[in-house]
Amino acid sequence: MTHPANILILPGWQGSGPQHWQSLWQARLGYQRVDQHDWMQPLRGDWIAHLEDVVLSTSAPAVLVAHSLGCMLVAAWASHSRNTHRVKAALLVAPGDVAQDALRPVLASWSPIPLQTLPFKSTLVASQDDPYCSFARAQGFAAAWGATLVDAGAAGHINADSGLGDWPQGQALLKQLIHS
Amino acid sequence: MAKIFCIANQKGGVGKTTTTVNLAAGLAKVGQRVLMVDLDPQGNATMGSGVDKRKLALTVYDVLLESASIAEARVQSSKLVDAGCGYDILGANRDLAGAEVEMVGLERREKRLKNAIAQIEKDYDFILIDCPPSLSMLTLNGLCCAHGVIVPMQCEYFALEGLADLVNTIKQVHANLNKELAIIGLLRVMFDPRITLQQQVSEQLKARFADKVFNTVIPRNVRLAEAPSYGVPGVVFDPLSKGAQAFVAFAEEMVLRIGK
Repeated sequence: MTHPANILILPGWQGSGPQHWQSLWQARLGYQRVDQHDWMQPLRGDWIAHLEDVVLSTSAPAVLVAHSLGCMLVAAWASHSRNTHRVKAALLVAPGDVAQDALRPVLASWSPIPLQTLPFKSTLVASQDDPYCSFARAQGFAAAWGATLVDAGAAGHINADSGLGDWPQGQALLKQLIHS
Repeated sequence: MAKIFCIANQKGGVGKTTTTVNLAAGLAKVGQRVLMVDLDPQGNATMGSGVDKRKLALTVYDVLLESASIAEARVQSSKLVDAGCGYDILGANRDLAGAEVEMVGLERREKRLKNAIAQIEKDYDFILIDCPPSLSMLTLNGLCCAHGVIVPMQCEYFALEGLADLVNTIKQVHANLNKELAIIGLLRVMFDPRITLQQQVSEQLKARFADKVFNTVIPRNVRLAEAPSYGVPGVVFDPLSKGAQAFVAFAEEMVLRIGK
């Protein structure tokens, strides 16, 4: 049984608003948000350092629930940290492809994207019409990171605009991942 | 070749960053070519040198991770150049905190800054490194490439206690990583001669450390304290203030002391 406070919510660039499924899960289930210093100007090193601090502060193996740039944070952190054993699993939803033309100039420090296998089990949920990551790129990330790929269909960026409510399908995937 | 100095004290709030930026400006004012390296993720020395840390495209973080050279990442502040106190700045922001995590698995990680500085050392007379107050991989990178350490100290009751920790750290780095490293001198800062205790501690410092104590004393001065909110060193903010004049005198003492 994973304590809710050890399930860490990792929003992406600009944070996740109140209607985002991450915020709804946090409010309803008591998950812990990794509150970065600056959501608008995401500094990779700053975000990595803060994730490291929060992972070290958890009382038991943590579970990461990442969205968009949060997925890139998981990959970047995991490629360097000596504390990855403190993470049990990661749910990676709609990874933000920081190498695509629209994002590369504004999120320059996030490239290159680490493509090492994650040292914990993971599920990557990708959408067929995500403006921030093509399905083919998401397939590539899942293969590189060793994540199980789940096709969410046409769900946009899998965020508040996707009309998912508190996204029960995602909650089911998280439970499946934790108990697998 | 440049003389490289860390400005360090394991006690926080002792005027370390004020010393770094004002010494850099003072040295520039007396004609020295200076690079200031901000090794503190708070980026206060960067902001205090007239550079907005939030707008930096490249910082010392990129240099430590070898994704940029110092030649690519260094910047200048027009405010300082216009005042005749221009120096190069290798800035920092919160990104730098990640270097602690990202460098853990790298070989020779404590020598990253030293290797980067070796490529541009000839461009400068002085390189000043503002170290964070904790002993971290960042501080170690600073100490590994420096010829010496400048220790700003307030003449207060617990000052010597903090100094013992720093001396111990420097001894360890000297023994294991950098044979050149030594304490260049103790700089008495925020000094108020009207306070008897400060006079007593100052005398104790001189008795115990003799010529390791700089002759120049930096007085407590409100203009030095106000300068950071204007994004310039006190030497630029109010050149006629006692604090600014003391830092220019300190710069001259530094030039003489190292025999330039």
